[in-house]
Amino acid sequence: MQVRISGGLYASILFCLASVTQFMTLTSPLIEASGQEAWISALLGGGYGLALTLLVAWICSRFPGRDPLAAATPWLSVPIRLLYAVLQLLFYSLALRDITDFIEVVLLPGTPGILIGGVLCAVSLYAVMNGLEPMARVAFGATCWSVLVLSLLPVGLTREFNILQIDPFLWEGPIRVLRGAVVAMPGAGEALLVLSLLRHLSPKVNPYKWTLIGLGGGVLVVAYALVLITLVFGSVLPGRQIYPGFELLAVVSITEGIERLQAAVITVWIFAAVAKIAGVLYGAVEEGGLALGLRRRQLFAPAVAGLAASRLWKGVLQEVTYMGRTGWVLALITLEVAVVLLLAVAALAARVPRGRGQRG
Amino acid sequence: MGRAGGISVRRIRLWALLLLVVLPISGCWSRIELNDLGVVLALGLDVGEEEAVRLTVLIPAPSAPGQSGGGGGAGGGGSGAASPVWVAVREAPSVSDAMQMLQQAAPRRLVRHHMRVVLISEEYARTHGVGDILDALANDLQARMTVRPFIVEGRAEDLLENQPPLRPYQPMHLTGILQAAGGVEWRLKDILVGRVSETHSTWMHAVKLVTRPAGAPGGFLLGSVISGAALMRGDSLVRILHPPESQVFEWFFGIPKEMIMSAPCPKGEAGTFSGHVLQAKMVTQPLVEGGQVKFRVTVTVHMNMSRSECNVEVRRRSDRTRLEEAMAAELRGQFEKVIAAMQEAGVDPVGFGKRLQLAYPAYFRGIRDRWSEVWPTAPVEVETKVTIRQAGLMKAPAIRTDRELQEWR
Amino acid sequence: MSLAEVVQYLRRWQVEEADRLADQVEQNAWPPSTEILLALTAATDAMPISPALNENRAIVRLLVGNSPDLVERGLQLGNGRLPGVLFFLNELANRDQVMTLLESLVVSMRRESLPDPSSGLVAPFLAQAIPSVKVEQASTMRDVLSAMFVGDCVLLVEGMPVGLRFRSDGTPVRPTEEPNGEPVVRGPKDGFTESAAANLALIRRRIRDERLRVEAFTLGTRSRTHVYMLYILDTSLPELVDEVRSRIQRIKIDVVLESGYIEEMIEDQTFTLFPQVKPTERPDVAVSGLLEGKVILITDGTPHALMAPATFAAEMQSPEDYYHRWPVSSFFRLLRYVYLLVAFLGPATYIAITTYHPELIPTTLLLGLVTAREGVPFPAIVEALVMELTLEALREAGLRLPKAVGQTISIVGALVIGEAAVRASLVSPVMVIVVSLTAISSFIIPLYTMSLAIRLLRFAMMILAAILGLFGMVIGVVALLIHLTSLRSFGVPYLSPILPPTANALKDAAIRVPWWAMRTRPLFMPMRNHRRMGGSNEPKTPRSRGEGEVN
Repeated sequence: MQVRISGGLYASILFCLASVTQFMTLTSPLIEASGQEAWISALLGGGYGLALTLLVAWICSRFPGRDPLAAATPWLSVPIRLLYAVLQLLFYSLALRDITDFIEVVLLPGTPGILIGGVLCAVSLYAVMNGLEPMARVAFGATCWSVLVLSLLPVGLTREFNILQIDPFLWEGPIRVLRGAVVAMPGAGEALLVLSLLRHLSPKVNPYKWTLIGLGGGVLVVAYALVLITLVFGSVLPGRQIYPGFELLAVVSITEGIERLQAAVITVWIFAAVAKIAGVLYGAVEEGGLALGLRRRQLFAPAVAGLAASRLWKGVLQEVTYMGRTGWVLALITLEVAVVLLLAVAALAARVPRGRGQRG
Repeated sequence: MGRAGGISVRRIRLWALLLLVVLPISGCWSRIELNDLGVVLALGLDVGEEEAVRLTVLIPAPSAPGQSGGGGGAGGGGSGAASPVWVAVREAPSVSDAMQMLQQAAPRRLVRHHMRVVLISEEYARTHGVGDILDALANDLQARMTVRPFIVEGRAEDLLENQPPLRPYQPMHLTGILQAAGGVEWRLKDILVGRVSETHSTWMHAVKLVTRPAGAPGGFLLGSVISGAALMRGDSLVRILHPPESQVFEWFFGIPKEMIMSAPCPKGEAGTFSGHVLQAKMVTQPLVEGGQVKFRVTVTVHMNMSRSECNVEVRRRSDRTRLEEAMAAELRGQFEKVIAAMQEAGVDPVGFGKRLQLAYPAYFRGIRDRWSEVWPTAPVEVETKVTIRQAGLMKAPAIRTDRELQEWR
Repeated sequence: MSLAEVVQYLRRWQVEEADRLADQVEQNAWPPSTEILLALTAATDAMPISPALNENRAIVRLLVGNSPDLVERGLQLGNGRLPGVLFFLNELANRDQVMTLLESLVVSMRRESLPDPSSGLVAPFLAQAIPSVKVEQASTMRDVLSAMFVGDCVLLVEGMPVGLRFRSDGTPVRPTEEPNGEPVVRGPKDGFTESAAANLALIRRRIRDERLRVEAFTLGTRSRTHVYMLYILDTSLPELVDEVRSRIQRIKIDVVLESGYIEEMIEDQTFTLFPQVKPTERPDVAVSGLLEGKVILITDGTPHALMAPATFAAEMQSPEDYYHRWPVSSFFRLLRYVYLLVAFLGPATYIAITTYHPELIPTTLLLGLVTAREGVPFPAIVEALVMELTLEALREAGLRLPKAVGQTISIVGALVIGEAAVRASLVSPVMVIVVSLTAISSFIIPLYTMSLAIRLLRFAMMILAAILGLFGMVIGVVALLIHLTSLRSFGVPYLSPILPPTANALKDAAIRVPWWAMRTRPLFMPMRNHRRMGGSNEPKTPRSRGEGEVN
């Protein structure tokens, strides 16, 4: 039975994908790269993500059922699906590692990371096993709460703004902003999940509008967070911190009673983080399943593989994730673009014989 | 049950269940019960006698069950039968080593989540520098960026051992003073921002213990006060400003509530008058003329007069203008003194450099390497304007003035 | 003598099965063995009424097993003295009604002449002549037995090939009183009772519409419990009605004592703590459910009627919400949801924050808590579990104690035990506060089964919080949310109208807008006709209506 989700649910999944780990781990490398104008880099990176996803949406809407790979020949569709599934699995293990590290460092020091990772993996599996709809609803709830909390955040931060923390516009120069944009691109490209989501989107709904709202919203949130961070901490200090997003939440101190609230606010973030990794795992499992003809029970394999892969890298934070290293960044961008290009090729190949058939 | 690639679903369920059961048995790693907590409220750093660092921590001691916690209510300073705090001191080559030694002597796990103040003695700041402790605090997961560091004129240990009168614990006393005054909130975050910045330097509040000698009426009194502002260059202390300069210095960051200013009476009369500040606005403007930079600081103040020994009536415009001019002159003098002190010490904690950068980015880019040399010689003009709105609830002093006596009114 | 008559009865029909049974009866000892009796019982559907009265009497006696409450009232009908017998069960039949029947059968008919038995007109004649609220014909032994076990009387007459069943049931029934589980301050105070017929009457009184349809089912092979399914023809979706009907007809069970049995067998998903049909003791709640397109199931023997489908929001509603004014109702509804969270997450939050995240507590409060916990030997989770379990024990005990002492003992018990435990440093005072607040919050939940579910989940959350702190709690909430959003009750998502958000139905979920604003029924409920009222019923002053002068 085809599960149908509405535009709002679809947009909230994209929102979670584009903002959760980016808020926590991407902010530091971005500020390090571009200084105060890191928000511009985030927006540029988001533009890249939007370009990719809107292109995918355009390709998919040419096909009934919005699944171009179903119409393509197995020669093309299986490798593309596999590549896409591997990419999603990579995103899954990276996101899992990011989230696990963060929780281990900040919330539960001392608890072994593999345990936290295991719990998160189990929850994401449970979500995926119950189908797209519950996961989308969790994402929706997380999105609403995140937006609410983020809009209240400046109220708690007003006393932290200081002219001493402001730099002139483009003080570091436009080249660094562009460099920062490149760092931001893979994160926005994670929204490539739309390839699996579009076929479940209700047909009455405009896919472009909701993609824009979801992904655009997520990117805007990251940019907004960057603006707040640079307003509160200046442009040099956040580049030295590991989790400036967390520090932003931790510095809120309105009265004696309302301070050090970071752990409570982080619960909303964990909510959204679960929605994100569930979504990514869903993409991997669905496409991998369609490619290899796997049955439901074999869901465990990709999830456990992802968990294992996430623990593979040993090393200091930020060396591990792709956010910091140029090689990783370029490799991921290449993979993402490759998937979209191959998809376009497959779509063309699927259209041409049909076109001929109709004319002839 | 069906086999899926060699593992049956039932097996998977069993393993999952086993894992679930093992979980609570294996123990929980990061938990700590409330009654095992030793809440560190303050840290003090001195130069040690034998070792490099002498670290002091202040931990509130829980009273016996059934009694109220914190014995700050009854009794004056520090004369309770049982002290409600535990002040522990250790000496070690570094801060972390000292912390370790303290933990080994403590029957509870010391947590720094609620640490409010870090007291660094002047001697330590001048000789050792504050770099490592600030970095350690920034690195520390438990201590947040809202911790307040202070420079102590004296020994941090003595300050921590003193029991304050109006608040249960010393750190609350210190932060309370700052909060009650209003104005500037200066915390670790602000200090770190200054440390990494190329446009301005850092400063910290300075505190000290004041004593009243034993023979004085009322007996021996020991209490801590905010004694000024400590200016730093990089990580080392260069100068401590004392009131009244430090009060005016803080104006650059925020006007304290109900700040009271005094000035000598106009026209050479004996006596002083005071007023409290209602509103104050400060504008720092850089001007670049012919490759040379100069600054103009404009201060506009509205105040209410609170006390006067001068023979003037506030409701008469001419009198009021004279008072305003006298106050403005006094204020200007103080600002000039502060700025001179900063330039002499070669530090710019207030942000003249930042304002120059914002107004003339291209120019600042040229001199950014030399800013620390340019600043001490940059001319700074101070313009002050004071407006006295009224004198509280009275239109005129409750005494017959000379003029009234003369006019037989 | 009975043996011969039974065998004679069995051989009369010349059916192979019956002959075989007759052989068995003859061969074995009297009374027949259990297997033969069971075989006879199984065959009652096919056993016709014999024209010989003695045979009928013997079979009935045999089938009922000579039960002491079986009454065989021999009669001589009419002036021809036609032999007959009136069968009924002693206490099930209402004695007054039986007396009326007997009076007419014995006294009034004395001088009447009945038609000839062989003409086949006796039955209709008697049916006309005997005054009774309801008369039916019983053509098989099964009919005779079911009539008797309901409390009706069965009249068998020599030569009549059918029996006549007269309505006379009258088991003692509790008078209508306020339902204990759902009391209200303002609102009707009648509640359902154990008699399905009486409950049906309570509903009929409120919906005087012929489009209210009732379908009867008999569930349970031994209990033969009457179950009525009610729905309104033009508001309930036919698919829903068919689905409910098919699910009920699928039930094969031996006894149905309570609607809870039915509930578990018609639910969508049993592996969950949350009820997907809402039980209610109040007729007004049932009626408003009917008008929302729901299907009501009334079960004989229990005052709890079932409403299907049910959503989470519906189960958190109290009927008073609709009888008080809307700001008051909205406020109390919101409060209910807040306290739901407190009941669910209260102790877990306390455990998580005090053991894993002491930085969330303001410093002065933390110091007070540290002092308060001084001397308590157990970790917070053990404290919490012990207090919670003690409270559960007190609650259960309070239920079973006699009413006079029950209240006092539970209150006194709670106070004394709590105070003593704090004094002995077994638990900290804060824990007592947290646990009591949680207990009170869980009573705010209107539906008892829901509060039971919340109670159990609370324990799970406490354990999660004790292992993994706030992170564990979030994981628990996420897992619960995933479970709830995938739950459906007869096709309606369980968490409507909050997720998926349906704007028009949100008017009635967390708040309640005034009646004139609720023009349509909740759109997420499957039904035919969503319009509740026409036009605009918003009250207006006469001047704005354009009528009349105001002096």
